[in-house]
Amino acid sequence: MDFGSIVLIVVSGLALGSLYCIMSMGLTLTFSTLKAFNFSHGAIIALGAYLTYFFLTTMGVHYSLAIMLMVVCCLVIGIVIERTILKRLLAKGLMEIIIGTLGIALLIENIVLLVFGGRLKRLPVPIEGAVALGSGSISYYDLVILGCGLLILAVMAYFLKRTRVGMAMRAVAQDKEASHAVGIPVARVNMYAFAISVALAGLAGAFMGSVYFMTPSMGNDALTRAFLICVLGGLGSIKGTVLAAFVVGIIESVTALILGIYWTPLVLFVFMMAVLIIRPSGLFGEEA
Amino acid sequence: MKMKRRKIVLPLLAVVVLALVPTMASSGYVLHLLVMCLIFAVVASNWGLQVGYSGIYNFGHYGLFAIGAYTAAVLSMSFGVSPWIGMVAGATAAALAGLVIGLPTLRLKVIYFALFTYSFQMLVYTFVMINIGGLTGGSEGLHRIPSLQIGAMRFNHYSKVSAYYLALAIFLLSTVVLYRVVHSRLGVAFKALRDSYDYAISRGISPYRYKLVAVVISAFFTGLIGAFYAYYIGALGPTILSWGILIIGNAMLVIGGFGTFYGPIVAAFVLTVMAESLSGLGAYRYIIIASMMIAALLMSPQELWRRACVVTAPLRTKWWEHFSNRKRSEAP
Repeated sequence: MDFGSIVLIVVSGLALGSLYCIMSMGLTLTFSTLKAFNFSHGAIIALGAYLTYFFLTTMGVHYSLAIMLMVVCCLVIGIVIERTILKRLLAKGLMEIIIGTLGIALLIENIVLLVFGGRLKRLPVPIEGAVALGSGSISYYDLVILGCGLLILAVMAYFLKRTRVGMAMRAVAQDKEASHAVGIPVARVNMYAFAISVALAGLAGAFMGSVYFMTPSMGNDALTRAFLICVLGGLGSIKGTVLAAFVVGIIESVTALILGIYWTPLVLFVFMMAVLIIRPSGLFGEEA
Repeated sequence: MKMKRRKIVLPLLAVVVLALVPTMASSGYVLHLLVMCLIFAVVASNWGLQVGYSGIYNFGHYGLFAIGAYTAAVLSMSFGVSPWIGMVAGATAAALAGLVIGLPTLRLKVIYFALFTYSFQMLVYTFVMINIGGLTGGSEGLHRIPSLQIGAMRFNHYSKVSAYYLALAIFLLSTVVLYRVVHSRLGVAFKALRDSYDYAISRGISPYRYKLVAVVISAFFTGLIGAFYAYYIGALGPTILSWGILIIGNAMLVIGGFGTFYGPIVAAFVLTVMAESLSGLGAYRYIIIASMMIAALLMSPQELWRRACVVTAPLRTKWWEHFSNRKRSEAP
């Protein structure tokens, strides 16, 4: 294996990793603040892809405007879901939250199916072309995804560390009761966190729609991947999620090259099992 | 003693009714629907043993079902194994799979276990789709799976009466075993661990060992009914691992009530019939089911009842109020 191929694997792994990063960060954010695991994340990824498709092809607006409109729609949808359903589920148990969000997923998936039909669709790629690297090549779009992923990471880091709402989210994640006591509006912070998580899922969907084909059930695969990443990184740890996303991206591109793409789920599963046996709360999770 | 007798009358009556159904049912369709109800009742009640009784949030239960079904189908189709042995092999494979996923993960926190088992199910799905050596048929699935038979009597969807009785027998076996488990020392340990984890540990109950037992028992019967499903339908595809079926299975537990013995069984019957009767509606079917599930979660049965009372209050007449008041005061 020559140097070019190694660079190729690393770069494509990093590009995949940054896509996974966007995909799973929202899930981690919801888990850390709301203490709820959102099984409708995958369906929302599909919804984001289809909304982008709608704005691009039916409305015919520019790519960047379509993405922005999609993000706004996702924020609104997130607020509506949180206010009407999730807020009340939070007062009940873990099982109720899981099954309730599964129900939301089923609802969204079938509404998408009803509106857009079940045919395979694909979002147009905004930038064509590829760079030759070693034995293969890497498309410009992968590099764009890598750049966008890093940009979103930076924005999220700034948001969580420097803004009032972001700091309130971290406070709620650390200790809900204490946040209540110092006057943080926990319910509203939860709503913002969920809305942002939905918007991140929508963005991931918009990127995925250009890389893979779109189907109403495309979210299931993405959700499984995002779960794996969250568990690997330690639930609720954003730092761990980011790292795990890149680790999974690289493992996946290496496995795809050596064993073939079909084997990646098995390799990832075994890797997750091994990590969980050695560290039961993930790579960066708090000790149980 | 009297209490015990009353407890047994209703289930016995239900069994008698179920046993007499083939003599009354006019169409094969009704019987087919009932066989599916029995299959899902076994799946739901075994899932209920884990989720409701033991507090094990296993989200890979249909993965175990699929392992049972595919083991049986592949053994019979590619290796010519007798379907009866295939049934046992399917159940054993599912139990082993339960053991293997349970061993390293049951020590994890609840949420990690839930996610882990969910990805396990997705892994099973991927394996079926990869179609190693053409064994599992990939997305096209398997067709012409041989059926269970004794002499000339077959137990598949062409001879529904015999298949129905076999399904009923498996259902009864599973239910009786589950009943015995739940009402034994084992069941008490499960409930203790679910309700008061720390106290149960301090009394010397090993959570790990008991949870493993619960998973293996429930995996065994789930695999058994999975194998029966494969032989009964005669065809098998990755759709048994679909999102919709997983969610309807969850709905059986929610609507049936956690930690109740007959709840999931009754809910399995109701929901299977309902899902079937809505099947002409396409995508609307899942929209309706999902909306109902969310409504059922948001409003407890008591609340639904209270609202129904408020809405119907003007309709109810005075004598009914009087009647219901008198009845209540007469009760000891």
